Amino acid sequence: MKRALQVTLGILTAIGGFVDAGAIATAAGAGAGFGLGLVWAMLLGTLAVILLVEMSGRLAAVSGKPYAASIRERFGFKYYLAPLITELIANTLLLAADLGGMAIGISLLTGVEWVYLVPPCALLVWLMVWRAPFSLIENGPSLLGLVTLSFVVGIVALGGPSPDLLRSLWRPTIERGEWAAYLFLATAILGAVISPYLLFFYSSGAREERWSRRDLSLNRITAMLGMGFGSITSIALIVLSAMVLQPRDISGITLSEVGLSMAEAFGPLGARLFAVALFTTCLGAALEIVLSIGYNVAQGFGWEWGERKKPVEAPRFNLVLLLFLGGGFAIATFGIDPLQLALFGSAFTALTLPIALFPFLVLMNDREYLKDKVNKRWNNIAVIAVLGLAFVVAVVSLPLLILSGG
Amino acid sequence: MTLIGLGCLLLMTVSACSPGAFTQTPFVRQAQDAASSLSAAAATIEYVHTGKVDDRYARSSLSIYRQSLQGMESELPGLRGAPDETVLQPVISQLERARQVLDDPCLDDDCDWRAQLSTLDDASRALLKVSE
Repeated sequence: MKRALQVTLGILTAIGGFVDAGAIATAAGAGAGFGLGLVWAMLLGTLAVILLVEMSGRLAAVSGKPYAASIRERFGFKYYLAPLITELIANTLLLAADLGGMAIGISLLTGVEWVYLVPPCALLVWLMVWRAPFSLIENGPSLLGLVTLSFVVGIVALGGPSPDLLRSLWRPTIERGEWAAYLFLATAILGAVISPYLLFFYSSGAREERWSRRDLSLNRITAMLGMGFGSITSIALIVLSAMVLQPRDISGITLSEVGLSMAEAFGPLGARLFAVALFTTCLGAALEIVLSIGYNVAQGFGWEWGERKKPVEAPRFNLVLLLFLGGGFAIATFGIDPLQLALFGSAFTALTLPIALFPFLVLMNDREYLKDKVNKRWNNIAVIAVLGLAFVVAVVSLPLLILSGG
Repeated sequence: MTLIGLGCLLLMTVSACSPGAFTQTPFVRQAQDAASSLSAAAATIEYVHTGKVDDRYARSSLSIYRQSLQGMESELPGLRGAPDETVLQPVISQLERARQVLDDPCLDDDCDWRAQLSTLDDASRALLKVSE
């Protein structure tokens, strides 16, 4: 019974935790701009992230070492610095976007200007990473994030997509001059879904939860069902934006525009549901991002780390959390639209994906780490395919960002 | 870095070989973004009066649209791809009128919200037309 509960909780948290500011930004932009023509990118990204999340959990459960610590140990300090630095840059932007997303969520509920709400949101994130137990951080916002399932209900309430819109699934309408924007959004979606911070967080979380070989089935189920169902909420957002925003020539460039889809479906309740969904998903993502950086740095430098430890027992880990949160907060206070920050963060993530993902190929075939649980042949073929995809995405993401104007 | 440079070169070449087909000019992008914000503002005001969003949601989102349109009148004419002044000036005037609506949006029943709606919609349509 306890096991079943654990599995259910794992799946629910993965569903609720799938969406963040980056996913909302890219999904809304995709739906409003190209109908269902970018659903393929979301599906492709989901397949990749299922594979990678399963591997990062398996690595931590079998070897007892999270991903960042394994990179440092197996590849040496110099290589470890590359994914760390790229993660620091991309995640600072994403953290600022998520803090802004939280603030806009409260702003839409209260009417208070969102820039004034950034400091209390940052304070809440700090209090939670400082004092809250890991289980609360992992499960609290994610369970509240299940409100994102209302996006799916919203599609039903609006009567579902029209046949014309459904046709855009395989035959998207891309106007003259829009190819760069279309391809840029595709790479940004992949960058938003295949977030390396999720992998660092997930494998460290597996250690926080003291996973062992007995948890491998839980890991597999969480990765497959949780991430699989989680992507449904993002796809639902694409569909909603395509149904409501696209016909009105609204391109989903600000978060409040995205909420109009839910208002169309459910009236004021829908608008409030969107605001709550925005706040909780961005809170969950902000916590994961801050912790993933703390884990990454502490594990790489061999410091004490973990949410189970009191701050005084892991002072440098907690200092990194504070400094990183301060960096994200500083950017968020400039008042740059969180959606734009999230798009840039996702594009930068896409640019650096191969650096963060390449170590999987080596580590997951190393019997010193995985013993009899090393990758099977099909796993390796899939990893190589994901790396190939990451490589292409990395090569084109920056030029596309410049050409499409972000 | 070399590969990213190669990627840049490849995409720039594609872009140069098919001018206008692959990318939009900065003017077109900004004009379309502005049109989107104006459409969203119009939808928000309409939703307030049809009971689809409450006053707080509207105030918060309208202030975001106002922010995103800040300085647009002076920015648009200087962007690459902008049409000449005789074509653009009427659109800029419409944009200015729309921005005045956003400065004082009609969210109650004692003002003419339908007039505001058409001001916003007209400016949005004009921006889309000039960006075609």
